[in-house]
Amino acid sequence: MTGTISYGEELKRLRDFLAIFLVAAMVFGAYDLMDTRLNIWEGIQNELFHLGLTLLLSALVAVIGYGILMRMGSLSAERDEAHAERKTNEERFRQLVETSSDRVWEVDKTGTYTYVSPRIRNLLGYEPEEIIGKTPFDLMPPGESEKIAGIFEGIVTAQKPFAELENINLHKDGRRVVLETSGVPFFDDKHTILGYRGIDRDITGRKRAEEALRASSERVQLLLNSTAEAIYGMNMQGLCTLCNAAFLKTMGYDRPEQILGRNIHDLIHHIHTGGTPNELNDCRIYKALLRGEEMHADDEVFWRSDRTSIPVEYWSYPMRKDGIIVGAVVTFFDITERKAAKEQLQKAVLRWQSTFDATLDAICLIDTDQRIVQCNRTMMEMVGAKNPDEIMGRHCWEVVHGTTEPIPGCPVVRMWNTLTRETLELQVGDRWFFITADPVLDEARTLVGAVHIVRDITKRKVAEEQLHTLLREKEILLREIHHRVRNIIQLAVSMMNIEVRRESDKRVREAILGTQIRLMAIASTFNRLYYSENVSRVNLQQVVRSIVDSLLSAYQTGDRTIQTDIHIDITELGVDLALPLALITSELVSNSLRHAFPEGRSGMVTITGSEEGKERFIMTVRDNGSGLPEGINPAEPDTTGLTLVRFLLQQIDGTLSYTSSGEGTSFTITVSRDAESNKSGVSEV
Amino acid sequence: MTEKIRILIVEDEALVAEDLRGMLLGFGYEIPGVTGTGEGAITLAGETHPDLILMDINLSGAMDGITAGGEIRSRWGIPIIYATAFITPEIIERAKKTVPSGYILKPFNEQQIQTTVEIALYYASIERQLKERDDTIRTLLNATSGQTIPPDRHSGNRHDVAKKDSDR
Repeated sequence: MTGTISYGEELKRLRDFLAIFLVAAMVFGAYDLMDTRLNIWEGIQNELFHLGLTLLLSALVAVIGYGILMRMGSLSAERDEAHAERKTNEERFRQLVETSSDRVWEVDKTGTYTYVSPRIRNLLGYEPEEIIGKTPFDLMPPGESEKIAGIFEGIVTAQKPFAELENINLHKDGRRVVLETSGVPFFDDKHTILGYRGIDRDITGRKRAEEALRASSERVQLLLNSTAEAIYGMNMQGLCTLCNAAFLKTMGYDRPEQILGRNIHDLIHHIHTGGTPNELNDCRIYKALLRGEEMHADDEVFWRSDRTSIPVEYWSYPMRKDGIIVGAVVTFFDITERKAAKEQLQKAVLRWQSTFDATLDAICLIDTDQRIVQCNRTMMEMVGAKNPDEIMGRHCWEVVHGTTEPIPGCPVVRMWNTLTRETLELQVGDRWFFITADPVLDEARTLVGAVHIVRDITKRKVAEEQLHTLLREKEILLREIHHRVRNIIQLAVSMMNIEVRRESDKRVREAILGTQIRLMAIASTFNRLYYSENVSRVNLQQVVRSIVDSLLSAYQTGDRTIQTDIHIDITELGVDLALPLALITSELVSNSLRHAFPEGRSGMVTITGSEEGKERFIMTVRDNGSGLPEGINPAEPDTTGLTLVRFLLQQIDGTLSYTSSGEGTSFTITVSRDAESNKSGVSEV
Repeated sequence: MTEKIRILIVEDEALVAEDLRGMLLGFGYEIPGVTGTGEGAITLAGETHPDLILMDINLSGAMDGITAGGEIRSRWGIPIIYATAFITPEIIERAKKTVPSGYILKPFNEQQIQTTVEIALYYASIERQLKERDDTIRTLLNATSGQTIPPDRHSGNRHDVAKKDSDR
């Protein structure tokens, strides 16, 4: 603005100043002369004063006038400068317009091109001259031209500038070109709109890139949404930049908009598992993000939209752009089920281990090399180990038996071949052990190891031994009792024999003989007791056989032959039931032998016994002799033998029925099993 | 031979012994003695050389009937019938080694005693006759050929029995 001041100009300014001064002095001087004529003295004094005043005023006017001149001079200089500048700018602008990748245009208010920059060639393939006189809408494909013309009309009516109006044009060669047009209206002095000026920019490439980008992001989103892992991204401010469908589903949201742009830490990761706040500065994901590190955790919870938390396993990866960390991508799983399963498994293992340790049997699991892979507390205590390491990996025989190879008869070695449980009772010192080896087979039934159990059965063995001793003692005692009973019976029989030899009365002799036979029957029962497995029960068949043999030898006289058939099919009886039955049988058979076959007659005595269901059993004594004599009624007996039978039947709650004819006699005894069970308590010694 | 058969009674229960004595006398036998101990039995057997001994197994005193019977049998070859109220497989095994001629289970009756005694005496007489015949044959064989060793008809069996017994 301030041009260079030359020396000539300085002189000119000084001349201007002096001229103004002189004019001003003359004007003020003339006024003073007219005034001083009225008084001389006073005139002289006033002359001097007025002279000075004139000079002063003139100088003042000169200064002001100079100032005005100076101002006028500088204004003109400014104008010159602006002119030059405008010329420069116009040139610059022209160059800009000519060289800009954008097309610059001017249309009148009807939309007809009045100017188009040469870039039109590059944009649409036309020369500027071809365009002038046309409207922009002439270059658009059908449909697009109507649409854009409508918009333009609105803009013109409003006389407003417009920007970045997208419109599709056809290149001279026919391809579509997307332009982005901006324009401002221009007016004449009276503010009447003359037209629009503006630029077109080819955004076809950008459009394509945008399209490609959108497709690419869609693909990425599709990819994100198709993964089962929940994924979210965040920038350095911790704001969410992306999230996938699995994220929304897992975290209970409907739309990505609920998440995007929000502080993800505050949303899902702000509280620890235990309920204490998780400050952002302590957040492991955030810290890893700041350090640009990957991280992984499976011991934290994320909070869902409904304020419930889920245990998660997550991975965080830093996101880099041009080597600079710009954020992180976090993928995670809801591991609720996995955690539950794991806890379940841990519980099961704990339960199993507790049981394993609590059992009183020493248990170890061994591999196919017979090395211990696991053992319980009892096993450790048994072998005196302080901790499992002393045992693990060692051969079981080393640990259990202290030998350098498997002991003879080792059940594990046998099980190796048989693949079924093998057992061994082993005495070590004064202790007894029951050892089992069970195979552990995989699904293909291949041996993968064995369960080796050692049970201390010393107590059982001792108890068994004591029991055996007691049983033996009991048997010995019982036999001793039977021995004594039989000896005493022998004594009684012998006394009777001595008596009989001195007795001459036949009836007395027979009575004594009868008693002897009964005593022999009792003795037979006690004899058979010994032979039975269980010393307190007898086999009736054998007892009756013995009694009948004894009776036959006593009554078999002369040449007569009496055959006997004994068939008793009754399970072993207690002595309290067997003894009365033996005596009854003895009486009945002895009656048959004595009375049924008179005068050397031969015959047959049949004795049978059978069970009738579980409740009772039946015995019969039958002969094919002469039948009961007249006057003998077994129901109201008057003989000693039948009287005894009646008493004995009462004792065992039995009943007696009989048939008798010339063909023979048959007695049937029915006894309830209850009688035995009632008596058995007594019979068991 | 009109001489009566003599049977020695070994029984510690006096009344039973008396009963047996009465029975046997009644059957027509002679009783050279009655004793209640094993030691007494050996002494009496040595002194009286009875034809048969009726021997109770459970005797008063240290020696039981089987020990005494074995001793008597091996010393004098007198046949023995054992009588006892009590019988166990162990007792039978021990008794078998003494080659008894019979076995009576108490309480017995007269018929059992009679039968057993008669059978025992019969076997004893058969054995005696066999032995006499063996002697005759041996004499004959010795006379014809000194090289032949006559087979012992019991040796094989006895060996087997002895072997089995030693296994127990």
